[in-house]
Amino acid sequence: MFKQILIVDDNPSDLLIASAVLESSQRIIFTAKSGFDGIDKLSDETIDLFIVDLQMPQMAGVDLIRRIRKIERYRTTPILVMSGRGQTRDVSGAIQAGASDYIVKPVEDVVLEEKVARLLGVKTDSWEQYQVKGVVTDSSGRFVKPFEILSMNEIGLTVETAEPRVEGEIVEIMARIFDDRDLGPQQIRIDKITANQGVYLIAASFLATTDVFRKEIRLLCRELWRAKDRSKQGKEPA
Amino acid sequence: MSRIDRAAIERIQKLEIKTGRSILRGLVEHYLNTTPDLLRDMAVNLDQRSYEAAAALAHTLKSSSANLGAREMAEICNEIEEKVDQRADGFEFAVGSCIQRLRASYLLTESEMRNLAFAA
Repeated sequence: MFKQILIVDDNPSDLLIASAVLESSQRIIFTAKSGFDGIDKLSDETIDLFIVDLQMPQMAGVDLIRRIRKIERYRTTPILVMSGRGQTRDVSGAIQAGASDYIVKPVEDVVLEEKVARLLGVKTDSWEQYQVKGVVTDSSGRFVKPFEILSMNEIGLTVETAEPRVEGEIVEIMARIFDDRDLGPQQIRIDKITANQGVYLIAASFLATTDVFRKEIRLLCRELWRAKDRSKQGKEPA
Repeated sequence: MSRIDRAAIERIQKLEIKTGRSILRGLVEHYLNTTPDLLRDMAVNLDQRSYEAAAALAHTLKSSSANLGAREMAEICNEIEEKVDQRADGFEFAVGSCIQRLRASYLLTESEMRNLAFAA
């Protein structure tokens, strides 16, 4: 089944490259050079995923997101923000307006593809499996939280934990796991928490990660992969 | 020293193979056609103390430069955005200096980019 994606960006080179990266036989890509142009497209097409730049003349990306969310049939349609700006206020402003995810330009093609596939609910085979057990303590060292990373790549991870916690605490814990890798709580979005007999499975995405962060995660993934029994693993992360 | 990150060019060439369309040539033509005007407008905006407008132009140029591997250009544009954002003492002069560096960088980037895109 075809998925229809609308990319809204005032920069022609970003539009052209993102379209080429995402082009596939299973997708139809529409492009718009402004928020108004994007809104016009909505009357003709049913969109499965929006990719929106933030800094655009006439109508800012945040205003476009708000307008999209006011349309009943797009209240839950995924919106991926792809912006050259990655400060906390940019990310939180976009998420508060209704964005589902956030990625900072320049974007690696594989990361964009993975994010889009995930938002469209399509499984990709590039999700490597890693298992890491450990504990997290608070700044005073009092609170000890057992966790296990079940899977991880540059766009997100799945963590298993035994203790029930509220969402805010989970985000804090995950930010602490990546404390030395320049990732704050505002850059982690909890996608899903599944509870089963006292065990909590948390799926989360990294928002607005930098190139440097993504490279560090890739290196970490490779280290973890090498430390494990390879017979149980997929291919070595590149 | 090369002003262009070849990895960025190779990435676009891979996309050309994937899509079967010419992409690099159009991107470079657009870049070479629009950048001189962007640089001029940035300086005009600075003269008129329209700092936000100058930063918006730098934002546009940053993205286009990064896509084509013009890293130095992208970095200077990022500096302009940050300086306007932070508004530290004397930021106007700092932005003016950045625009001068951008012009100098563009002179060197332009010919290299032209050779890369149109040599074949």
